Amino acid sequence: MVSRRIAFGLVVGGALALLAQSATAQNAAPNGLLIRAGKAWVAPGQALVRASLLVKNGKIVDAVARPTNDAKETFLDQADSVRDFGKNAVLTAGFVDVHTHAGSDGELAEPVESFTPELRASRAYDAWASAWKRITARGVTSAVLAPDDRNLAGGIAAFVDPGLAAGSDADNYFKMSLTGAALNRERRPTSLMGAADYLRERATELQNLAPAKMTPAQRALAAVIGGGQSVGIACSTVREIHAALDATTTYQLRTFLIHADEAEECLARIVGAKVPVVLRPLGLQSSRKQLRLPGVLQKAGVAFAFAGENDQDSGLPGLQTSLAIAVRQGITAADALASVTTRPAQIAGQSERVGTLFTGRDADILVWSGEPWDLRSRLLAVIRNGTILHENKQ
Amino acid sequence: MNRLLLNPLLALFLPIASTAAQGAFKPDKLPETWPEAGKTKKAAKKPGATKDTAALRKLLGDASVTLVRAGKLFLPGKLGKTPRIVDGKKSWLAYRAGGVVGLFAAPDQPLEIAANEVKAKMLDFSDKPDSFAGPGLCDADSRWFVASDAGDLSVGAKGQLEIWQEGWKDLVLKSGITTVFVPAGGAVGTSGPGVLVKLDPEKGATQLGRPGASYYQLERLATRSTNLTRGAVVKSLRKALEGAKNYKKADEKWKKDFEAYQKKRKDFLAHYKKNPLKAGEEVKAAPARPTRRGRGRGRIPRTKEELEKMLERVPPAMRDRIRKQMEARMKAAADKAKADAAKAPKKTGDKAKPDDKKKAPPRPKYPKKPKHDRTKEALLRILDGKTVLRIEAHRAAEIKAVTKLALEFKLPRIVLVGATEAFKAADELRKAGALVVITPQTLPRQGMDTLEEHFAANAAKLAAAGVPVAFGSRGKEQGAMLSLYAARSVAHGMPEAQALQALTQNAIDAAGTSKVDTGMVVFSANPLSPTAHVLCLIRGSQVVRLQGDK
Repeated sequence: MVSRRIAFGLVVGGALALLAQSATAQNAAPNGLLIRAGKAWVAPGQALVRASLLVKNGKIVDAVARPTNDAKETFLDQADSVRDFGKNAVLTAGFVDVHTHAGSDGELAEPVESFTPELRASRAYDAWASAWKRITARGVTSAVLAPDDRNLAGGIAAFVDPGLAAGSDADNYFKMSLTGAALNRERRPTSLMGAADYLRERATELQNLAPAKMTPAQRALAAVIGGGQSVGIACSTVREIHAALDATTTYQLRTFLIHADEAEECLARIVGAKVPVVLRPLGLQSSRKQLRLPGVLQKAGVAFAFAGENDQDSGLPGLQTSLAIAVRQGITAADALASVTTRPAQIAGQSERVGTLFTGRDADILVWSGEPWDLRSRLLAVIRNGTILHENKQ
Repeated sequence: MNRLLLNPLLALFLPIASTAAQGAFKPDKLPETWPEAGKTKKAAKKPGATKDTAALRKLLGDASVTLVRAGKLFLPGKLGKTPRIVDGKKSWLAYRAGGVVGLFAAPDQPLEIAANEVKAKMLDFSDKPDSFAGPGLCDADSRWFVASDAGDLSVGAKGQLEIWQEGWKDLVLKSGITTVFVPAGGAVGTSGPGVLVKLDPEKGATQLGRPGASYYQLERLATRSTNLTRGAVVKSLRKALEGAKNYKKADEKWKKDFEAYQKKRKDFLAHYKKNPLKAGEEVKAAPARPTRRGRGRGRIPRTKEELEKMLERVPPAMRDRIRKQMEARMKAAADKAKADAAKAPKKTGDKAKPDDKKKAPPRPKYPKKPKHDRTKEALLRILDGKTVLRIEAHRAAEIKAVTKLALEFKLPRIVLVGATEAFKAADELRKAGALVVITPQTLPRQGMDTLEEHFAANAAKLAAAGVPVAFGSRGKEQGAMLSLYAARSVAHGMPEAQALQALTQNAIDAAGTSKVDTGMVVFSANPLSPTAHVLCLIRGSQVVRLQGDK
């Protein structure tokens, strides 16, 4: 009787294992996918006409323009499946949102403490949040989930593939905030001056302290001082921007500014400090100053990127709208495209993986019905790691 | 050779292009061949194109006309015609102060026309295949020049705007927005007619003479409403419109009374001119109006029948008591009347001239004029269709209530502003002939059904249902982004011509004024594309070429 039960269990178990295996095979990225389109922006300003991209194991294996018959044959040999999106379709690298709080439900700040450098946004990352699905459908294939602006030292941001579980290497830049949101009457610091003082106190504690004796918070701060780990400092007004740049100089930080709404007023100092800026998304409700800022920064030679998506549906796609408005404001299309692909990838330190369609990069590809900066263009398909995540009818 | 064989539709361009900006064009070098001869048959078959060379000849001789050729030409739909984008390579768009005159195909045969007869300006951008010519764009809801908050339908924007505000020139030069509609008081509450403001980078901003649409703020319900009670938001508007109707009736009655008064007065004066008053005689006074006391409560019945009728309205238990009281009052009144009659002096001469006395008309009394009410008069203009009514409503139930009201009061045109859930009430909006101005206020609100990329999807769905749509920024510089938002509607299925119509003619219609000259703009590309910039502005007979035009 017992042996019968064991035999039955083995049969059922085997069947289940087979089913699971077949399901995994169906979900996995096709081993060798050939993608064809009218044009591919492999990098901003570098276009391949009549492009063919070969994707294997989630990476771009080859990208060529006007492939010869031999090349076509070689590609077809290596591809299990072919997707031809037509001659009007345009390929770009997946968008990188370098500063987002999406899907966090307000869980990205510690309300009691203002100085929490050891906190990790990856711990608050909810891969199943519906916001990620929406964001991915709008073309964001990589995002940096950052602690929000309520803490002076918010913690460590997480580089994630939206909707996929965060890996152990998710830790990214260190997030600080000098905005009004971080200055709380209920706790220190209560003023910008106090914030600088607070930071100095914490930095002084680190002097002559052996790493073994450091607390996790001190270790996190020590990794930043001296330019080890990059720091994103949220600041909006001229005073806050100056305070951020002061901290950059004092502690030799590898800084980039977040928001920096009044950057135009202290442009010379930003140019001198050579810090990139992550701007708010542009939309119909953006102020005149915000609309002007990308053009001003471009003219001054300051690298900028757009942060885009959040939980709220703003009615239009965030990064694509920013891209279109930037072009309307006079930014060159290549520069505008860089501000949502290569530059955020560089700021996040992931330019070897994402932001371009060069060989060896992650196969994060967006397929558009026209140029991506034209809002008439629709996103036909979102491909991440070689797998088609979303597909819209033309 | 005083007459030349000309191809005025192509050849004259070159000398003009460089001189147009400097003033009137005088062609100095005219080619004698017509490169397009024999190739224009296809162009002539295009819808809207005309081979009326006589009309073309007439236009060429008109110095106020500008003929424009570009890669694409946009013709907005007016008077029921659908908007269309045509290939501009073989057609010319004729423009004159006042608006687009029409679209003309290049004629089959060369025109014989003397050089000195060609006075029209001709701008040819056909060497730029992406160039795009069409009317100037309009922001259907702008906050430029807004000075103060108005709170009355009778208080219009005209004369209250800060027309001297600066900073709008980029809007024209970069985005091709040549006209903005400014609601009175920034539409923060009920306000009077707004104003269309023409933006001219050289002449400055000028207000259009005719008043535009008025804005009505719907009632805000104090308590949480349901779908069944949301119709209450139009309660105050209904009351106001009914009040306006009654005001109109009272006014019409007064006019009739006034006519009768004038007639009576004429008779009265004629009588006394013929029969002058003698010493001691008095003009017969007009009969006194019955007082409220005489007609209403507390009136003393004159006869027993009247008393019985009155008692029918009294509770039976009280009837005897009231009867006694009334009978006592009737008796007292009769006694008083008798006593008065006895006291009154007997008039002399009554018997001597009975006919004359009968003929003497009483002095007519001037009819009481209804109190002048500017708000009601503003509402009357809305009821008569002279002023367009703009209403901000978001929920589908509220929108349906507004459209129902519009049909009930036969409002010729209403404009819904915001209209978040308009896509759910598209049929009602179409039946009511409403126009919808999509603004950023249509961004998703709590508790409302929204679509993915709502701003654009809502507009596209309305356009598909046959509801005209316009776009409004509710801001200043933000107006420059409207064409991008219209472009997004194209991604959601709105035809490009409809999207351009929303930015041009529909925006003008939403402003409540029609036949407005928004000028002509030549863009480097379709204005829905973010790469488009303005190459040339044409306003009246003035042509402004911009630096970007090389």
